[in-house]
Amino acid sequence: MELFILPGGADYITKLALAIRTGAPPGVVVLSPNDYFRFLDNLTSWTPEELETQYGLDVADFSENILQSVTRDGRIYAIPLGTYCLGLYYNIDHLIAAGLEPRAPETREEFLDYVRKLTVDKDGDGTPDQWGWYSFGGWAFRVLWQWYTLLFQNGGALLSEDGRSAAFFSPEGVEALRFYVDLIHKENVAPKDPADPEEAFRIGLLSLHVNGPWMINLFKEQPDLNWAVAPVPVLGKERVVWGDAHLLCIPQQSEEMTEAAVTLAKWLSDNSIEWAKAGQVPVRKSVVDSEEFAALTEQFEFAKQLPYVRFLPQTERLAEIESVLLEYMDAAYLGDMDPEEALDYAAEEVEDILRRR
Amino acid sequence: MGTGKKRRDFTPFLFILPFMAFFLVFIVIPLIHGLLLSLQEWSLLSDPVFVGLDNYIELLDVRRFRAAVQNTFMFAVQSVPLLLVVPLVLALFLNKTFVGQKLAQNAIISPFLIPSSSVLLLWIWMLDSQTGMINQIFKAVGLPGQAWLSRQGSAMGVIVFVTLWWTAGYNIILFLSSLQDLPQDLYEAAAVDGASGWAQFWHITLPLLRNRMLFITTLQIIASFKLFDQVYILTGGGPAGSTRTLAFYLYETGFRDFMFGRAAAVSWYMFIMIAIFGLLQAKLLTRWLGEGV
Repeated sequence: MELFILPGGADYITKLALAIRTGAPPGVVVLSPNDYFRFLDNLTSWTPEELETQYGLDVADFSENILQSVTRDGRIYAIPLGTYCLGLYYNIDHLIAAGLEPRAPETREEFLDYVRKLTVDKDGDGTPDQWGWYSFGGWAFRVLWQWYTLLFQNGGALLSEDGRSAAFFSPEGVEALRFYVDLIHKENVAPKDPADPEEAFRIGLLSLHVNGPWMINLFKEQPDLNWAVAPVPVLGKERVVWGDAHLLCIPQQSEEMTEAAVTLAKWLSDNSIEWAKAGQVPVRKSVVDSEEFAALTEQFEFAKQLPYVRFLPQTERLAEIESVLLEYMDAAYLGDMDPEEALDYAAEEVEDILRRR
Repeated sequence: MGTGKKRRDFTPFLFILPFMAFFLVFIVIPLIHGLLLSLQEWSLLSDPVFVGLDNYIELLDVRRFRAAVQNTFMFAVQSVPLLLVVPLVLALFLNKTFVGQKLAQNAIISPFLIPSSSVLLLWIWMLDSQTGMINQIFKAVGLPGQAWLSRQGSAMGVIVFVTLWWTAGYNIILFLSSLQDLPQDLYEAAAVDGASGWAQFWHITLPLLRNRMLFITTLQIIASFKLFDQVYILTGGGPAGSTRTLAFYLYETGFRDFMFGRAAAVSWYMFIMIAIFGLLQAKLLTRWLGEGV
């Protein structure tokens, strides 16, 4: 088999759709649960027994959570490679300097206490030179991911059970958005203007930073940065964190190719410790429990959240829905719109998207 | 005799055949295909379904489409005059002989040779509100920093500015080539008659550049209505959708949301807008600068 590396995003799935459409699909393709959903009709699927007897893949070794997200009517549509979710990165030196215990905050009270103490105006010019928290600016989707996390922690949901209507314009959703907006406009622990927190955390301007495990190796490259990462704090009622995954999918093709493709996918899954080293969390219990994985300190912190990672509801319209949400969240974060009003408008537009077709 | 005549009739077509083949395959057929596509519903993976004018009618009802029309219009209104006037002024300046002229010429013109992704990433870094160079300079001289790309008021302005910085060079070259072709005797005669520099510019240079200006404006209108790269990389259509242009909406609709029929309809709306604007500006500019010289 030949390996092609294409940048992710819209162009990637368009290329895949064209490849499938023209009858020349790739042997194995990596997709996220939301994208794979669009291609269901074109993917190879198996019963758990088939995977075990034909290919020797130990289905019980996969994290239940993720296996469930790729199973429909008893058939498995993808072999999960790894997962990712948010974690809380913290600058140990900042915590010590502020007289805090050098560990991550775990509850809402602790989180608020931390961010207040970590926002410091060193030169007394009225603008903090060190921020406790900010997470608005740079990579846009982070704003959504942190909101999903708190929405779920509050007991809320993005869409209704049947996926036909918006469920996020709820007290849980509004509270979640208001929490983040208030950090900027009431608590003053985040700058009013958006700025990229990744860069700010890297250069020691920011103390707490929520992001995915792909930052691990980047932050490790920064010589003077004394940092660690921990599970995201419980800012709501329950312990939940937003997550997503990398799935190995096998488009329908000749029997011979399918055979080869599954063999490759199995090999990748069996060796997913290598994938973990790149800053991802494996989904095979045997790999997660291995000593080799425990040695990956930061990845191991992310893996602690595996039992309660929540994936988004699977809908073909997710990209559109997220772009509507982002638009109104921008307005709320900027202080141009009240969070309740913003989500009200967003829900109306999302309903409209779900109604069409 | 008869065969000779036939051959003579056929030869010209042979000469234009290479061009026509490309023109047909890459322009005419896609154009017709796009028109047909805009009358269908097609998600790439399923078979297309004919829906008549549904895509066109539905679009009028979509708020983000209407906002995109408005944003595109605003960008064109701001960028087209700037990309006409600023390059003209710079071209006049660069057309003079002075020490370091070659250096200035290269420095001013070269940005448009840099690929969009490099230029735009550069500006993203420079414009970051906390860590960017521009705000560091602002701070150093005691001015408050700005969230350039993140405010609904300023984001489009920044895109206009970056576009100007990046693409002005192309129009400068077009203007310079015209300026260097202008007949010098007209200026000499005018100088003899005592015409000031300004009068020379107004009565000689500008009328002689008329066709070149029409040409540049038309190109500029087309380019401005197709604004995509700057939005895609700098703002992703944000903040709060204030920089989502028609081309960006088209991309989202087709390549992200897999609604290729509707995306094709967006492109036809774009075509109509460009056509209307192109004709309008040609009329206005012709009236302003006179019919001909």
